[in-house]
Amino acid sequence: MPSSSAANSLEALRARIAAIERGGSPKACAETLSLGLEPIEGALGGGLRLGCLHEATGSGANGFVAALVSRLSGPILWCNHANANAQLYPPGLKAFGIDPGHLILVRCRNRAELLSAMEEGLRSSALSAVIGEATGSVDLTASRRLQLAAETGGGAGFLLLRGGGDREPSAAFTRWRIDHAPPPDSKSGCIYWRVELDRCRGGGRGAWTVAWHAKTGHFTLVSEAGDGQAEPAKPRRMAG
Amino acid sequence: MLVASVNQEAELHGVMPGMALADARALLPPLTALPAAPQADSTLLERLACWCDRYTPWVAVEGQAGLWLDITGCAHLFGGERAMLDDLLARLTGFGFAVSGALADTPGAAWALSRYGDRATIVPAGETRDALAPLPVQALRLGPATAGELSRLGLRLIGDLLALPRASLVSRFGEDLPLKLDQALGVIDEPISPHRHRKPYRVCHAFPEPIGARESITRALESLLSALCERLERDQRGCRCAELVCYRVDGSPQSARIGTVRPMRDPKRLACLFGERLDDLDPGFGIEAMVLSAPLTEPLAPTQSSLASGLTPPSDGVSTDLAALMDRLGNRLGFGQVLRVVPVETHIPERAYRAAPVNEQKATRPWPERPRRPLCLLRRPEPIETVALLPPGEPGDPPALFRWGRSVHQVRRAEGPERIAPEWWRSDPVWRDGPRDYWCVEDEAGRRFWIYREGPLRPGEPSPWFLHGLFG
Repeated sequence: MPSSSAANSLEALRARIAAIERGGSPKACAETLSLGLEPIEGALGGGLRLGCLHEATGSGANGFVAALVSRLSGPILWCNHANANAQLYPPGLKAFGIDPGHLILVRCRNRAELLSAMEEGLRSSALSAVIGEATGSVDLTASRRLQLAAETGGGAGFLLLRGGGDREPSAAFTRWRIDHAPPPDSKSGCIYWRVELDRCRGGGRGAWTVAWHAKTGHFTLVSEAGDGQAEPAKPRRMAG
Repeated sequence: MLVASVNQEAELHGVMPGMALADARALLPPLTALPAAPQADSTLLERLACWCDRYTPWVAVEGQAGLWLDITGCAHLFGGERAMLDDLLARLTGFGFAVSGALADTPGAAWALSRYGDRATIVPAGETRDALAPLPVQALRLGPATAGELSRLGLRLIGDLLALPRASLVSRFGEDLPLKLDQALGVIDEPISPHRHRKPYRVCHAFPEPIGARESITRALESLLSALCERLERDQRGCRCAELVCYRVDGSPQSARIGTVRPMRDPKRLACLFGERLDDLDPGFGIEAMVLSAPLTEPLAPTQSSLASGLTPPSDGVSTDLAALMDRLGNRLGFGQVLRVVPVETHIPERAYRAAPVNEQKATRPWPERPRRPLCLLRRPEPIETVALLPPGEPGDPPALFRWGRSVHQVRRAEGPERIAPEWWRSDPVWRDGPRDYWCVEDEAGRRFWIYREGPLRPGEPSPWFLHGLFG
């Protein structure tokens, strides 16, 4: 039947274009990190992709990324600036379920060192996650390098950006904005975040309020609020 | 606890090795006792043996506290036997040791005279028998059983033994005693095997013509690395640190150094680590010679290659890939910037962890459980302006509103207080003002802060508040 052959050739075309978009790298990077929340995973196209670079900004970005990374097992590389006043406090990672013994800290003197350390870490397949704290925004070339390195290595890369300002176009797979949210009731042991997915390659956008339970390490959805509806996954989207 | 060894003054007062420490203390109350460290002692003795290389290449370690030097043919270099012995003893005394020595024809005689004779005795050739005769029988290195039996029989001096017929000695005391006697007299040869210290791991290559191109330098480095790694493989060691020194035509050296987290002897990986450093080398007018050395090496057993090699985890929990990554990061950024965190037993928050370089081998301890620690700590706590609750509650309550920088935060919930007092055994200028009451407060937007009130509560005076950390 002509419609099924048309559907087959469409699928084949889609696969070829997806391979070209990946840059011809043989690694299929189909592994994903599941959050356990249906709407977010739907918007992401099936979980948070490993082997990719994800950007996050906002006051709650550190905590949200720590909660995500606690679901991975293996060594974690955390790069930050040696001169910043606010430094990561490793005993505080225990509250997020990460063993500080798995952490490797890299104290960088400047931005170039930070980006090169992240690239080395992402390219090696020994790490499960590489997290870097940078100020401002990262331009297209640098983020493209990090994305390629993540595809080679297979670990998840997270770029935590501080400082406001315009977001430059970036080659990151997803871009998030995470802020704290006030808890709905006065007694609870959870952390509440307002999570906005600004951009996901091949996926949609959305905004949700999620709660994270420290004792169990699970996410729960509090409400779907915000200005974007969670759209179903589209097969193609222009990078930009 | 027993006394292992004593110094001269203690010996004069009657303290002997083998005595119980309590008895020794009873005998001599102002006694100072230090724990015995036999491992450190033997290392020191080996180092001394290496130092005695300056007198003769034939040096052997003897027992726990002795050295044998075979100075046949070396004495004339030091101005004769007497001068040589005096020089050796003077230098060792200068190092701080209490030393006595003797020079004789045979090792056995030298042993006997150094311990039981005068401080610096030299026995001319052929007079060994007469020199040994007045010494006690313990000077023959006998076992305690034999020595005890000899003293019961009334044979106290070596001269008494020499007077007896040999056959009766053999039948009564076995083979050991006559053997020692013959060795001391020189009738039977007693060889000593010299102490061999390890040659340093160093390979050099001199070029017939000076080289300057990067490819030539890389090729030369690769051949040096394979030669060095072959030596390391023969001795089953791996290098932790390697240094390349290039000597230029004008005589000035250029050096490059790399370090690794675990010992390794793979020439390709070492060449990769050197690769970045070679960019900084300036060949100038040409390089004449290159010397590659491995100053720090550690034992490295050969790895068993097996079909399931990827599945067996390594012993220290660091996989090969991770070690290679840490090597690259460490060599590029400096090993002082690539850190692991280790818990420290203290309740002071900023000191609860220590960042240790990854190439330090440390045993890990479990992390202590502490309530409510922030994800992000400020290195310098920042002062905040606070407005108290209305109506005022307890003096120690958290504020209702505080301003940090330009932003104002209203406190909706607070958990605490957690009082942390400074460590009184340490004077820390940051904790000068006394204990702190820490509160975890949440503002109207849901952000959580770790703030503290510094110092004891003083009635009528507002206490200063500071922000120390931010929760995730």
